[in-house]
Amino acid sequence: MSFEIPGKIVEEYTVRKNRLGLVQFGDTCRPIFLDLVPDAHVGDYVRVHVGFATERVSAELAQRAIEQLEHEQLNGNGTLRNVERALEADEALPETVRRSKPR
Amino acid sequence: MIPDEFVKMTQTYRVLSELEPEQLRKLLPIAEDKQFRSGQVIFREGDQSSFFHLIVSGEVALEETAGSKPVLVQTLHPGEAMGWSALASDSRTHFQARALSPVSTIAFSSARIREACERDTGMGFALMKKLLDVVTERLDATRMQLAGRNGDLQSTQAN
Repeated sequence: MSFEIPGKIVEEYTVRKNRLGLVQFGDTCRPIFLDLVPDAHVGDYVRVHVGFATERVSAELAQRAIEQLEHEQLNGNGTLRNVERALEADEALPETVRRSKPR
Repeated sequence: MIPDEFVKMTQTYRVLSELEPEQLRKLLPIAEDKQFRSGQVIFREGDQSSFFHLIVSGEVALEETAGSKPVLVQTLHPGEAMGWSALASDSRTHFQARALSPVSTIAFSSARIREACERDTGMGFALMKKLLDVVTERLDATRMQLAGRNGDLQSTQAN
């Protein structure tokens, strides 16, 4: 569960010793570990690798990454297709996880 | 109220999520996402071990393939590990692993995870302790499975 674009934290929970967040990528949300980004909270953007947020990024940087992705989509670049493939690959995840919407 | 999927996720990722943050930071850069189709053979018995996997979603059959047809040894579920031999030097796989459904794993290349553990023995030891917990549970489950089979066999013989 890795993404090329930063995701936005829309919910935050503590489960035992771990801190997790529901992170939004476009219109899809995933539960992500937030233990490595202690200063990131609801409303912040993070980069995600194999299910763990690894870095907090500014809203400006996140927005630029999303705009770049949209631009590449318009120009037929493969980046969006890569993201789509990543999401399709996650079809193995439970339906409740894949289709969770921010509340 | 914590949604169930978050609790389930901590259980599924327990080998990694229970490491200390500084240990996790050293391990994550060498982790890769891997996906397998239902029915796909993930590795064959006797292959050189190339990846150690932590199962994130889906089910995997570990099979013995020495006979004329594969024999199921164990079914693995999310949170379990496969490809242990990748952690040993110059080792080959003991079973065949086949995806029973679409499977998603976090995979570590054999060479890179061994190198990371040797470079930072503290992190390596912490990882091995977590893995040993998973192995112990698997052995217990296998023992129960065998005990159940033996019970069935004795009942059949008694009848």
